[in-house]
Amino acid sequence: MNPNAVVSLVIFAFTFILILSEKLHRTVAALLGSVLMVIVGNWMGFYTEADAIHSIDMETIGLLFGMMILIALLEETGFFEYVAIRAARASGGNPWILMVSLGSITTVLSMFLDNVTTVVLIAPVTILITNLLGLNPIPYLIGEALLSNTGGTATLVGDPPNIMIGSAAKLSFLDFILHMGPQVLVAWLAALIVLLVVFRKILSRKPRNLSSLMKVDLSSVLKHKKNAKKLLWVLALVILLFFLSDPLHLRPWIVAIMGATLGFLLVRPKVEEICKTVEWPVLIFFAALFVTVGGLKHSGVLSMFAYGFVGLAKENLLLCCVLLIWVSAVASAIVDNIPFTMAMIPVIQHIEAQGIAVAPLWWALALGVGFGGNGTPIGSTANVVVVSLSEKTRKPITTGIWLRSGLLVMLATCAAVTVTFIIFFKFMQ
Amino acid sequence: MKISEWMKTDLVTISKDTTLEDAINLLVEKRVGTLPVVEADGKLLGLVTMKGILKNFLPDFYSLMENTDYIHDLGALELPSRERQSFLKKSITECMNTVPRFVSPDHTILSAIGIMSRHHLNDLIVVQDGILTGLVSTVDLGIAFLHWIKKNAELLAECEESAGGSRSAECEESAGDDSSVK
Repeated sequence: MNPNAVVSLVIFAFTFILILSEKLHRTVAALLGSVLMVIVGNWMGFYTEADAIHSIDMETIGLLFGMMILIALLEETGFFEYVAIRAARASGGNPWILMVSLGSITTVLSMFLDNVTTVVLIAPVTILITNLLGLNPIPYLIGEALLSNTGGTATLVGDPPNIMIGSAAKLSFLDFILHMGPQVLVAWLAALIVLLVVFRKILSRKPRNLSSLMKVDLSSVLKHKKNAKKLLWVLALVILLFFLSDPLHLRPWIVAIMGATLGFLLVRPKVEEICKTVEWPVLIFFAALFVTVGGLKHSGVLSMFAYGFVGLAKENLLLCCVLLIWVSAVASAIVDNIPFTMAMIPVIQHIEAQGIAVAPLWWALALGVGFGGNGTPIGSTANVVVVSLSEKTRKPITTGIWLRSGLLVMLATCAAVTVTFIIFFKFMQ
Repeated sequence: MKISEWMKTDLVTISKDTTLEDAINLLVEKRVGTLPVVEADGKLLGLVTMKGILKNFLPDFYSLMENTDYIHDLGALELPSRERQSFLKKSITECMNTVPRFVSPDHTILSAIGIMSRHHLNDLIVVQDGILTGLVSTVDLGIAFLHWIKKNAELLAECEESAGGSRSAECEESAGDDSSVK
């Protein structure tokens, strides 16, 4: 291997391990990696500053930013608590129905809004609801994280890896729904069944008190009903434009920012306060990681790595895809799925440059990365959030509990889509 | 005017072995909001307040959510709980603030008001070289403040008399700068 490749690989591996070890905040680790990559790359001649800037995918960052603003505006209205409490009341305190409804709500929301933030907003009110009812919150918290991870894989905007894949492969919102939708639905149902079975003992226990939940005055939960309504209309418009992004030539990121702007115009909040809730560390993390992985790409390491796959892809594309689903799943269970996806994208692009029709590989990557995140407590940021919130309560989610449920869900969902992928392979191309 | 002139010096204090239940009883009995936790030699270990103790009996979601006012009734959490009973028998070190805000005896009234306002305190302890010397409650500060204002007026009047009945600028300066008063 040439020295550029070795050096860039070392810097990337160092950054990756630093992120995993959690000795440093992941944003700081990524910044460190990006700075090293640019300085060393510039000095060795394989990565200029202009290259670095170009590596930052504005589509991903813009989409994340726009949706973060919309969520922040919607959160202020009390909408998320309102929906969760309403669903809980409708369940009549039946734990099974509660599990399905809270899981479904989180899934639907996280198909359009960022997965992690949705879970961050639903988890505390879930703890509240289960406390009032006298139920154990664990199945609901885990269920929300797992089901929203699973469901978020179906849409372009539901999951950061999908956003990155969509931008790189120029796939539309509609493309995702058509290719991923049906398979994800099957996987989601499989996940739900696994969860209901794994937690059947806890879910069989009746709630100890129903009346206080029923007495909650819903209108004081939804503090700003008018604003909530306006924002939901904006969200509906944004989703409609996502569907129409191809014919209208409007990439999703500009639609998201347009939505955020409309939100600001209609609600007129204190801009500084809303912007404070935007997760800047996350956006900086993405930008810095893009720069780091860009160095990897420019040194030629990834095209070398791609060559290994080209042979298999030419011979048996289906096998290559199935392998990719499982390898991506295992990888994204263990390591952060974002740097993994970022590194795999140029690999697939290189395979494409060798004349192979890589469409199914993109879908396989998206599915594997999406479902693998369920396997371990650290596999997806939503998992980390749920576990850390539960640690503040008296019934923390242990790694053991997670593995018994999450790992099974990961295996079930990956198995389910392996089957659907094989059956619908022609359609994937 | 210094805080040392207005602080209470005969204080109710507790040791670190006091249980939460006993602390609550004492707070009620003595009608105070704050109990300093001291060692035998008077060294301050921390502060226990009624608010601080009661907060510990709230469920976890209160710290995780911003809007919780709509909850009128905590449902299953209101039911009898062994955990709650045993928690009361624990030592106050569970709820003790080990780094309380304090002032030294030479702080002025206004600066004490500043600290109480900033940190939303009802009682402010006075500490010298790590030893608890006194405590000022909100009411104590109010009494001190009224005296201070009265003294202010007296000093202003005296000065104007000696300057020949006019409101000269020199008097304002010698009576103390009131530019902070709105």
